[in-house]
Amino acid sequence: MVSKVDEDGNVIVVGYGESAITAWYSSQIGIARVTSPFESKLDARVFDNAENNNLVDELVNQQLRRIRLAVSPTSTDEVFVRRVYLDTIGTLPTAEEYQNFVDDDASDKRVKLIEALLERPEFVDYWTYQWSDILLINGTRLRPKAVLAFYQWVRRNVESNTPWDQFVRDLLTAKGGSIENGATNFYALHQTPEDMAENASQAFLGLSIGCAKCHNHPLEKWTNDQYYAFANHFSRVRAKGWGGDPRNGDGVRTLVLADSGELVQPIRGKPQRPTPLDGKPIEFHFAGDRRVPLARWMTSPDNPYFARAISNRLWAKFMGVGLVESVDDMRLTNPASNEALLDGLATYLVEKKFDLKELMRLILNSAAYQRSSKTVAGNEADQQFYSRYFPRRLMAEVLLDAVSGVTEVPTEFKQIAFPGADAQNTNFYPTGTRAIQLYDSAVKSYFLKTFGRNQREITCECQRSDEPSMVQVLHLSNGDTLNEKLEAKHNRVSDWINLTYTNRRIVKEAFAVCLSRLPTEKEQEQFLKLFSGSRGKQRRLIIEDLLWSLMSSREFLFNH
Amino acid sequence: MRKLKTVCMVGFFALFASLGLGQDEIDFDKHVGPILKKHCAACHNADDYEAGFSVDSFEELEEGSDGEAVYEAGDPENSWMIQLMTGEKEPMMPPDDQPRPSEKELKTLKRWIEEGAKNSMGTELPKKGPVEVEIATVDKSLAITAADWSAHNILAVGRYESVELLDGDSMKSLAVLPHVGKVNSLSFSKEGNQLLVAGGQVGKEGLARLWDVQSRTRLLEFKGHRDAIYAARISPDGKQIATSSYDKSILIWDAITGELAGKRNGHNGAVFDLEFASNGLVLISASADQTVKAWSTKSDERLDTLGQPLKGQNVTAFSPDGGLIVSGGMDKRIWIWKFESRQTAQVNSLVDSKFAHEGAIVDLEFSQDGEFLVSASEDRSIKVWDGETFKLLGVVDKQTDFCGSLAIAPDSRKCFVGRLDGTSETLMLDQFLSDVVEVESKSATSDEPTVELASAFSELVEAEPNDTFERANALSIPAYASGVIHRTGSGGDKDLFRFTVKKGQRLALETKASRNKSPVDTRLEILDSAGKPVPQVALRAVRESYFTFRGKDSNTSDDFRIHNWEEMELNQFLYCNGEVVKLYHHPRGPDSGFQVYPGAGKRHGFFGTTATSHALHESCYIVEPFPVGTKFQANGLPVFQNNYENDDGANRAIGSDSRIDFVAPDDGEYIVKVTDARGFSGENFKYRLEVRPLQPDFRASISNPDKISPRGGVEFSVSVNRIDGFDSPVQFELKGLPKGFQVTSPLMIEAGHSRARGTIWFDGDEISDSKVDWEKVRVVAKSTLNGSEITKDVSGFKPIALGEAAKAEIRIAELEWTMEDAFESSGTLELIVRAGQSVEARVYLKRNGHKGRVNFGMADAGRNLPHGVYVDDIGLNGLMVPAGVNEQRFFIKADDWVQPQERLFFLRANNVAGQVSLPVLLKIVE
Repeated sequence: MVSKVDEDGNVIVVGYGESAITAWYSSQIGIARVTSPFESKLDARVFDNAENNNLVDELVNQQLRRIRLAVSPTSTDEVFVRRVYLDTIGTLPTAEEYQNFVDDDASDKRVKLIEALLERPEFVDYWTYQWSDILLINGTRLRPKAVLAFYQWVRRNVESNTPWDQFVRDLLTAKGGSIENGATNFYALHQTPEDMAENASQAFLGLSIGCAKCHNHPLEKWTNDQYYAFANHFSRVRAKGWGGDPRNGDGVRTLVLADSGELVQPIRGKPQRPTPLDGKPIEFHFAGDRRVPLARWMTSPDNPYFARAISNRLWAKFMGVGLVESVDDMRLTNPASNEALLDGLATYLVEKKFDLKELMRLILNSAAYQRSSKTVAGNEADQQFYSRYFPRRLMAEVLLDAVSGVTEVPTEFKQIAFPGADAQNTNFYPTGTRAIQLYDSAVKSYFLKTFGRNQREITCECQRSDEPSMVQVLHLSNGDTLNEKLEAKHNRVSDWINLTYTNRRIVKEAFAVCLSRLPTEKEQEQFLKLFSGSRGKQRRLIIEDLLWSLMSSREFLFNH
Repeated sequence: MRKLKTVCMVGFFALFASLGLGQDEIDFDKHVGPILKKHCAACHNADDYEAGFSVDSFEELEEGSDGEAVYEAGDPENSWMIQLMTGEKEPMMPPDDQPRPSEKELKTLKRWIEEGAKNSMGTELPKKGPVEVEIATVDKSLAITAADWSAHNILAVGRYESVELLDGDSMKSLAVLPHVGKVNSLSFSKEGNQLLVAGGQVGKEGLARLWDVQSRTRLLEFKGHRDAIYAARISPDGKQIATSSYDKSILIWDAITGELAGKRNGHNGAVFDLEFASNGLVLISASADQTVKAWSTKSDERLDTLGQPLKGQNVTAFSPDGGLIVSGGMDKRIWIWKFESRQTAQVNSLVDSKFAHEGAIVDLEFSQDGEFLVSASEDRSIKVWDGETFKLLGVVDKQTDFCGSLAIAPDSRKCFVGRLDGTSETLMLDQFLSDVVEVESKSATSDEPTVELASAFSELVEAEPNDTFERANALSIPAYASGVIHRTGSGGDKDLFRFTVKKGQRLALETKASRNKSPVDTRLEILDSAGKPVPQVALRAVRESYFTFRGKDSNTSDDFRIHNWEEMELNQFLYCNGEVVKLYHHPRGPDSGFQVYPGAGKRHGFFGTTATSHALHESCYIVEPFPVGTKFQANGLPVFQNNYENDDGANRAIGSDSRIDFVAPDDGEYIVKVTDARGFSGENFKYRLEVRPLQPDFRASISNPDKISPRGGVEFSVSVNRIDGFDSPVQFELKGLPKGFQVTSPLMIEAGHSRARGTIWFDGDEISDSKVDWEKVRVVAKSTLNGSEITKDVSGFKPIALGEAAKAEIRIAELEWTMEDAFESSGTLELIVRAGQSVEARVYLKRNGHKGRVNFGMADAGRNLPHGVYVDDIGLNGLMVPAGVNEQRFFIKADDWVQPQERLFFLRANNVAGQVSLPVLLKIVE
C-alpha cells in the first residue's frame, strides 16, 4: 500500500510506489495521484541507459524513473522462447524449436520469432479461446449447434485478423439465424435489453453498469437514467425459435428487429431515449436498427473506453498484471497504474486501426516484456510497475496441453457437463484435440475445472481463476491426469526407450521439452544417479518419475 | 402559536449570526464542539461524566472538571485542557491508546480560547425562562395526519401534537385535545362516545390516549410501544383496544383498566393499520412486510396471512357487510379477499386485485352503507369506487398535496379529505354516482360494406423501384403480386403495393415464400396514405407480470410460467413484448405454467401478432382490447398500440410466411409493405403476395379408431380448421351407426376452439350382422356463417372392427356410490357443479386382466369438459388408479366465469387400449 486516507480526509503516505486517491460525490468523481519514490540510491543514469525499444518502454521507464525502481536485466533466450510461446500461442516450444532459437545467432531473432508466432495456427486456437471466454461460449447455455456456430464465427475473425472494432460492430449488429450467423448467439445468451446492454459494456468497454439498473451507484458515475437510455438501444431485438432451454431443443433461433417497442424504466414508468453512455441520444422514431448507431459509438476511436479496454486486456494477457486491475473494471474510480501508458497503448491501437496483432507486436518487442522475472536489488517490492516480468501459473487449458504435449498422450473430450452432474455426449472433438481448441467451457474435464478455467457463466475476467489450491497440488502429484499419461503404453517415455536414447540424453530431452532449457550439471548428475544400473521396467519407471518431477515443478507450472 | 414564533426567532438569529460571523472566527458549535466530541466525549459526557466533566454542551464545558475551569479565556497556553492535550501536563489526554488530536485540531482549540472561548452566537440568546405552550388554536399549515368521523357526526382531525374536534355539519371547531408527538391514528368507538388518539414520538415511544368525547376528559393512556403507533382501534364491544406500531408489534389492551392484555407478534415490518371485524373476534393488520394478517382477539392465534400483496401495505379495512377484506399500499393496488377466517384459522381467498393509483395507496375508506370505497394515494389523487363491484366512479386528482387521511360521514354522503399540506375539503360522494368513467372492454366491430370485386385475381409483377410511398405498385383486388427482396445498400429492399378499400372492408393479405422454398422470411405491414403504420387495436394492460422460468421458445403453447398467475383468468390476453397470446388452461401446480391457445401444438398469436421467444424475467401484461383511440383513465400500466403488421402467420399454418387480416378503418388508399424480417436480401428472395376479401369458413374432420372391444368404448375426436377468422361454435352429428353402437352426438366444438371429443360404445359381444354397412354412417358439421346456418358433410369416419376384450372397464360414479352401483346403474349419470366451485366424483375400475396402474392423463384428464372446467388437484402423476387399487376420487372444478351449460364428459385410459368410461352429463349451474 502506498497511501491511505484517514477519516478526516487527509492522505497519509505509508509506502512506496504510486497510487490514486479517488473522491466522489453523487456521481461526480475526482482523482489525485500520489507518487512516493523508493528510497533507493539508484543513479538516474540507470534510467538514461535503460533499454528503450519502443513506446512501451518509454512510458514504463518514465514511471520507473519517477518512483526510482531498479530494472531487472533482459531474460535469457531460454526463458524468452518459452515465455513468448506460452503468451502468444498458448503452447510450449518443442525441444527442436527451443534449440533452433537458442542456436540462432541473428541479432533480430526475437523479432523474427514474434512475427512467426503471430502467424502460427495455434495463435488462432489460443486467441479464439480467449475471445470465447469473453463471449461466454458455453454448452450449458447454448445448444451444441449454436456453440459450434458461435465459435466458428469468432475463429474466422481471429484467423483473418478482423480489426477489433469491426469484430465488435459485427457482433453487436448481428442479424439472422443462430446457425447461419453465429454472432447472433450473443443475443441468445443475453435475451433482455438489460442483459444485452450490461454484457456488451462489460465485455467491450470494461464497464460494469449493472448497479445502475436499480439505483445511481455511489462508486460509479452511471445513473439509472443513463442505464435505461443505454439499454433501450436493444429494446427492439426479438427472436424466433429456440428459447433458452440449455438441455433441450435445436438451438435454432432467428434474430429479428421489431419496428416498435421500448424498454420501460421502472422508476419513471416510461422509456428513456436511446443514448450511449455520455453520448448523444437518438430519437425514439429513429427508423433503422438502433444497434447500429450504438455499435458505431461504442467502437469509435473517440470512445474513451473502447480502445483502452481492449488494450488493457491484451496488456494483462502478456504482462501478467493489467494496467487496470481487475482488467475489466475500467470505471473512472479505478484508474490505471500508469495512465500515460494505457493512453499510449490505446492511441497506438487506434492509429493501427484496431489491428490487435500490431498491439501484440508492440508489447512483445518491448524491453519491458522481455525482462527477466528475477528481482534485482531495488525492485523486490514491485508488483505492478513492470520493472521485471511477473511470473504466473499457466492457465488451465495451456497447462493441460503442456502435459499432453510433454507426454505425447492427448486428452479425450467426450462430454458436456451440466450443473447438477448430468452430462450429454459430444462428438465435436476428435482424438488429438487440444484444450485450447475446445469450443466450449462446459466440456467435462476434472483437470480444467480444478485449475480454474473460465466457466463462462458471466462476462467477467474473474470467471477464470489462477488461485493455487491444495486440490491442484494433489491432482498433479496423485491425480490421474499426469500419472495416466506417464503410464500410457505409447507415450514419450516409450518413444525414448524405443529410440534407445541414453540416460544422459533422456535427462537432457526431458528438460528441453518441459522447461525449454538444458539441465544444470548438478541437476544432470542428480538425475543420472537415479538411473544407475536400472533396466527394463524399472528404468521406464525412473523416466516417468523424471518427467513427473519436472512437470510438477514450479518452473513448469509457471510462465516466468 | 407562540411556540412557532420562538422557533422562527431562533432561526432568524441563526441566520443573522452566520452572516455576522467573520470568516476566520472560530465558532464553538461549528469548530470546537466536533473536536471535543471526537476526542473527549467517549468518557466526558453527561452520562459517564468522568472526572466530573462533560463536553456535551458549552454550558457543561464552562462548568469545568469537578468545578475547576478547564480553560482560561484568552490564554490558551495556560489552559489546563490544552496542557493535557499537548502532554505538557499529566495525565496525557486523550489517553495513550487513543488517537491524538491533530495539529490542526489543537490549533483550532487554541484559537478559540484565544478569541475568548465564546459560545456560538445562536445560543447566546436568553436561554431559560418559562415557556408557555398554549394550544388554543392550531396552526392550519400543519399536515393533517389522521381523521375519523363519529356516529354522532363529530369529525376528528389530527395534526402534530393535537386533535381538533369539529361539528360534522357546520365544520365548526368544538375543541382541541393535546397529544405528545405525532397523531397517526384517530378512531371513534362504535357509538361515538370515545375517541382513541394514537401516535407518539418517532424512534422513542408510542402513545395512545382514550378520551371521553362528551366531557373531553382523558380516560386512559397506553404506553408500551418502542416506536410511534400507526393504528389504534377500539373493539366493537368497547372492551379491547388494539394498537400497532413502527416497532412491528401489535399490542392488545384492556379498554376498561388500561392494562396490557396481550401481543400479536408475527409481522416483520412496521404495522400501519388495524381493523376489528364487526363480530369482534378477528383483528386484521396491514404491514410493511407486504402482508395483511388476521388474528384472533381471544387468543394470540394467527388465523391467516394474506400474502399476495407485492409491496408493503399501508391500510386495510372490512367491507361494511363484513364479507370482504380490502387493503392497499406501496404496490398501488387495491387487494380484495373474501373474509373467511371469521372464528378459526382459514384461508381468506383472494377475490381480486385492482390497479388503483400511480402511487402508493395511503388510505382506504368504505362508506357505512357500502355504496362507496374511497382511496387516497401519494399520486395526489383520490378515487371513488363502487363499494360492491369496485368499478371506478370518479377521480379527484392534481390536488395541492396528497391526502393522508380520509373520513366518511355516518350518512355515507360526505367524505373528509385531509392533506399533507394542511388543507382539507369535504367531497360530496353522490356526485360520482352519475356515470361510470371506466371504459368497458369491447371489441372494435363494424359492419362490412358491400364491395363489388372482380371474381378473377389480377396478376402483377413488381416493378422496381417500389421502395417509396409514391412509387408503390397499384393492386386491383383480388390480386396476386410477385416480387423479390433484392439486394440493396443497407437494410434490404422494401416492396410497396397500394390498394383502395372502403371503410370496414375485410381483406386477407398473405405471402407465399418459405412454403415455396424461397429463402426470404417475409414480413408484412400496412401503411396509411400518409405512410404511417395503421393501428389495429389498443391493448390496455390491467395486470403486470413477468416470466419466471428460463427463456421460452417461440413455438410451444404450454408452460407459460409467469408471476402472479393465480390472479389471471382463462381467455384473458397476455401481451409478451409484442406477441399476444390467450390463456387456455391453468398451470397444473408449481412445476408448470399456463397453456395458451390452441392448447396443443404451436401457439397462436392474437391480433395478428407473431410468436417470438421470451427471456427469463421479461415483462408481460394481461391486456384488454379496445378500439384504437379509446381514452383511458391511467391505471399505472401501459397501453400498447398494436399495428397491422405480421412476420409469421399468427395461426401458424403458413410457417414463416406472413399474413394480415385487415379491416379498413376508413375509405381510401393503403399500402402493403413487404420486407425480409431479418433484413436479408438476394435475387432468389422471391415471394408471392395474395390480397383478397376475407371469406370466413371452416373445414371439419373426424378421427376415430378402427377397433373396439366387445362391450367396450373408445374415444373419437372431431376438429375444425378455422379459416379467415371464422370463430363460431361448430356442432357435429353422427348418424347411421350400425346396431349396437352408441355414440356421443351431437358434439360441440366451442367458439374459438378447434376440437371436441366423444365416445363410441359397442354393447354387444360380437357384431351380429356380418355385412355391416359403414357407408351409411353420416357425419355432418353445422354452424352459422354471416347469420345463416351452414351444414357440411364430414368424411373420414373409419369402419370399426371388433377387437380384443377390454382388460379393464371404467365407470365414473357419484362419490357415495359403491363399485356395484357404478357398474349396474343404467342411464347417464349427471353431475352438477356450480361455477367457481368443485364437485367430487369417483372413478371405478373393473380389472379383467390389467394389473398395473391406469393413467387418465394430466391437464387433459377430463375428456370433453367445457372450457374452464377441469380435473383439479391431480398432482405430478396426473389422475390415475394405482396398481392393486380399483378406485380413485377426483375433483372437477369449474372456473367462476363458466356459463351454465350441459356437456358429456368422460375419462380415457392412456393405456389399456384407450378404454373410456361411459360419458357423464356435467351440468354447470350459476
